[in-house]
Parts: sequence; structure tokens; C-alpha cells
Amino acid sequence: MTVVRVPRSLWEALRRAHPGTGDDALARACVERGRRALGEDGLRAEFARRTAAALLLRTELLDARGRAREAAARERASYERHLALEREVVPPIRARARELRAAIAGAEADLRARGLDPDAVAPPMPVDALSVDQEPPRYRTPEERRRRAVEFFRRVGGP
Amino acid sequence: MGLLDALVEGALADLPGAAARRATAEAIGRVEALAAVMRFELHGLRERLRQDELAARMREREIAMTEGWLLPRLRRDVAAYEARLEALLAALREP
Repeated sequence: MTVVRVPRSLWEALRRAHPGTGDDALARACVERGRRALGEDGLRAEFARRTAAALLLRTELLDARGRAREAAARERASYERHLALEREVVPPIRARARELRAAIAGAEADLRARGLDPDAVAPPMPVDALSVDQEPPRYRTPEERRRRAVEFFRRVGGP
Repeated sequence: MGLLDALVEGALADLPGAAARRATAEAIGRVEALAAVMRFELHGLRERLRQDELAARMREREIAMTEGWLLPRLRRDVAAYEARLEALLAALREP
């Protein structure tokens, strides 16, 4: 069985135009007329065709508005999460890493001054440690950002 | 279409032929004007939808990269630095 959704306002208008006809009879008449009107010429058929197309367009528009609202919400959520990561999560860890590296360099210098080898007394630095000494780069174009990201991950072998 | 045809028939039942035709032609004009506005809005919505979905997808990839790769690597580096610093300081404390 095919279900056709009809806007309430349109159905009410049809009832007012055909007072005394029940809903079932109106629905049957609509289906029958629809079959006939498809093959008819003339202004009435033209009106029916164009209005039907406009109603389909309206349904599509309402659907698109809903999807656009969802996409905008998803975009906003991703923006906020990304911003939080870039401003509140990553920088403190980078700063801590920078601080530790500076302290390590100082301690290594003190040990060498005493004639000791730092690598003999302490576990090694990670060989593939991420650079934390520089600020994240700023890119001029999205293409440059993409290219630099690809080059970076080729170099470090991830993810 | 049948519904609309029946609606027009009912609405124009009391009008003479020429007036009914004129009213129908005017109604077609109004419907077309409305359809044009809806088509324009639909086009704009689709474009915005496409841009929003693209931006969200790209950002979600970056978020996944940051959360799944960058942060664990940074935390691992920090843990290694802390271990090395602790050992270096212990060696410095030795007489």
C-alpha cells in the first residue's frame, strides 16, 4: 500500500471546497482524478501539475532545513571540540614537555661538568619524540596545510 | 494532483468559465512565484549543508588525529622526559 502524506491545511481546504463529502470518498476521488489529470491538457491540469511539483519542492525544502540544522549543529560541535583541544588540552602538555626538556638539558650539562655521561645514568630520550620547541605552523592555504600534514606523517611514520 | 484538481474544481465551482480560467491562471502564477523562492532557498541550503558537512568531517578527522595519536605521543614523551630527569637529578644528588 502506498502512503501519501498530505499537508493538513491542504486537506482542510479540500474539505471546505467539497462540503458533505467524507474523507474516504475524497481520497478515492483524488486518486482517480490524479490518474486522469496526468493525461489532460488545459489550465486546471496545468495548475494541478505545477502545484504538485511545488508541494514536492516544499517537502524537499522542509527536509533540507532539518538536515541543514543538523549539519550546522555538528559543525559547531566539532569547532568547539577542536578549539578546546587546541587551546586547553594540547598547549599545557606541550609546555610541560618544553619545561622538562629544558630541565633535562640543564641537568645533563651539570653532569657533564662533573665528568659524568648522562646517557650512562638515565633512560634515553624517545628517539621519535615530537618537537615541542616550536609553535604550531600557520598555513596560508588549506592545500598547503594538507601537503605539510602528509609530509609530516611520512616523516614520523604515523598514524 | 487529483487532490489539487478536486480543490480547484471545488473552489471555482461558482465562478463562470472565463473568471474560473482567469483565477486558475493567476493561481498558477502564484504557485510558480512561490516555487521560484523555494528553489532559491533550497539551493542555498544545499550549498550550506555541503560546506558544513565538509568542515565538520575535516575537523572531526583532525580531532580524531589529535586525540588518538598526538596526545598519546605527547604524554608518552612527557613520561619519558620525567623518567630521564628524575634519574639525572638522582645522579646529581649522589656525592
